[in-house]
Amino acid sequence: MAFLLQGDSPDLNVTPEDVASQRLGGALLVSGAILATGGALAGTAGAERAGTTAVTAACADGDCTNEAVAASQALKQMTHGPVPETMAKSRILETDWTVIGKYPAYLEKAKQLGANALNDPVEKWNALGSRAAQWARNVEFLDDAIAKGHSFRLATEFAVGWKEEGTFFKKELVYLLSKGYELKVIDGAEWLVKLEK
Amino acid sequence: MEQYSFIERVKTSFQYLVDDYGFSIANERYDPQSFGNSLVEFRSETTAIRLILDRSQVLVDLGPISWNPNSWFSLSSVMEFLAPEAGESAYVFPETWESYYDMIDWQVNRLAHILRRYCSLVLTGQFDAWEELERRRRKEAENGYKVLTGKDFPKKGNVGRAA
Repeated sequence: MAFLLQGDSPDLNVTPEDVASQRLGGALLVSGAILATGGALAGTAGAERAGTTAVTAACADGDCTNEAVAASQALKQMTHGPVPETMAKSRILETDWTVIGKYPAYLEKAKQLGANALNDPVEKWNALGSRAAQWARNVEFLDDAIAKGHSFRLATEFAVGWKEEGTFFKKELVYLLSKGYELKVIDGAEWLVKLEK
Repeated sequence: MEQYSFIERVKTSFQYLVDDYGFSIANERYDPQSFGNSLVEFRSETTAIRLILDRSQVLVDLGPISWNPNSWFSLSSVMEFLAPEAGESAYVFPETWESYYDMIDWQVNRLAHILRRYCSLVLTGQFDAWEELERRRRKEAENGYKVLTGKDFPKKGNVGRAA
């Protein structure tokens, strides 16, 4: 047997029902103006919609600056969190999702959410022949998801993955951060989100 | 040709968990359509140890059975805490190989040796510093994230550790 060694180098539970309610209640903040999604809204989401309707009417004169600022502040209060978190949530809700994490958590979460995940059969993966080739395949998958604008749901907590030097999951975290993704905690779940399109 | 079984290799190499420390096998799983990923989970009255084959990397998770498996600790965390003088990394992943399955076996056998050598407190159920490990893990992630992004680590999610 012969192989080369390299020294050490270099979750969160949204249910389908949660997803449905979030998609209905999501608000999108774009360039200072607040646009609410359509559909049946409930609770604070309903209040968001009412606020948005007022903004839309008040903007009839073509200058929405003041109204947008006021509505942004109101939304901030209603969501009990900073506006950036609302932006991240909106961004997640408007994108498709890829799940990353450790086995078996990433498989289970991807199945639960109906989301994208890297899945190659054992024969294909083994035939790659080296760690570098396997990582290249992994990067190809990540780049494809990035190109499609996906948000990345972490099935394993960031802190757990960060501690494991040299693992594919740790490398995925570093790679996505290097591509401008930010870690956000939305409703208790960790996501890597790219806020700047 | 006999089909390779990560699960059977783990059972053989970690048989000492059953014979000497009172563990039993609580779970096993194989996903041929997902890289051949596999796991074997051992449990004692207090502690869980999970051997994972994840994209051809063999990992060991350890933790209290009362915690969510997603929050268990990597062998590297536990080893760093219990044996900082060890002078070797918990995980070594070969970069190339002539025989894929020999490469997997090499990792399994090495980890079986390391776990027994450095983590006897965990194996005997006497380790009680899981909360401290959690605090350190969190701190390390916060620092790493800050260095890499220049941004603050977000506040922790509300997912509990309960199993």
